[in-house]
Amino acid sequence: MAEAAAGRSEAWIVSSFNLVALSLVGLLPAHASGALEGELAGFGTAQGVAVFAYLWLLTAAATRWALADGGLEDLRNGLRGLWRLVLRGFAAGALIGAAFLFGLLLVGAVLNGATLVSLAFIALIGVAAASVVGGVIGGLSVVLDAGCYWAAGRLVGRWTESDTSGRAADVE
Amino acid sequence: MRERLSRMSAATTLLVRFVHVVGMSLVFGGAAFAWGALRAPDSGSEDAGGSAAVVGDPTPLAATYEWVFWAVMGAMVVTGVGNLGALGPPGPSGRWGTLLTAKLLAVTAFVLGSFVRTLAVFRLRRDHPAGAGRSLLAKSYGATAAALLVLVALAEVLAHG
Repeated sequence: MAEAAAGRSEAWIVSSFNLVALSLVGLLPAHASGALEGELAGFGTAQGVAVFAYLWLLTAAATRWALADGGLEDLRNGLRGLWRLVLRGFAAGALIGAAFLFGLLLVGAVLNGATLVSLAFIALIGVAAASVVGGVIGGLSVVLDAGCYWAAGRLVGRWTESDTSGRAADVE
Repeated sequence: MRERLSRMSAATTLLVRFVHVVGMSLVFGGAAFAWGALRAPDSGSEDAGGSAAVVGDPTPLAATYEWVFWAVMGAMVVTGVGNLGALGPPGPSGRWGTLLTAKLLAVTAFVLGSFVRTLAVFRLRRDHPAGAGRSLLAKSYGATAAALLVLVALAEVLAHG
């Protein structure tokens, strides 16, 4: 029970971090190139919040699936564990990319009254491309998560070691 | 009709700012509270009767904070972008544009550091006896609160010049 709750919590936090990091990584070059001004001008606040919430929901669900088999603990199995997680991250990212674009296209088509044939044609090409992009982002996100996991392990290892030796010196 | 739409847009902008400010208060207040609670010297290792049972395991408090922190960070990103949209973002050049670049870089570094802190909480919970790493967590939350103050100062300069 506690294990399941910890797994849910891990998936929630990892998915939120990955989404926040991805947003910042997107914002920085957009601002540096001067494109942010134009992009935001064409976007309403409510629309922006709805799109972000949809992406967050997809990311949380896909991350939960990707981490279902042991979670970040798998990184302790060395390169084999990392590879397994990168593959799952790729698959989860591909699903997110496909579902995200499909959702946007569907809403756009309904609002604009597009025909079913044109929707299917655009979706077929767009969703395939979005899966590849999403998969690459998913795989890279796992590498970033793994780097942070390794840094956290080093930090905790050093700190608890110095705590223990400090306490031993106090006893003496 | 136009007046109604403009009133709705003003209300949305106000709501976005409200969520952004409340979010910052939550993460800053939570970090300061966790720092204060964890650095208290006697709340960690023995109960009132002096038994050896650990009564002050810091990780449940830390885990709760982390859960809320990441929910708030997601909301802060979307409302931060909403605020930029409402203000009309500047180009990358000029004082305002440079400040925004500095803020985005600072937030990115803060988010990365915060994720390392969160994973440290996970690892302490899983691998170490209850009560271990208390001083590490106290310092982490102190650093989080300090970093958030810097970000608030940057936001203040961006908003009011």
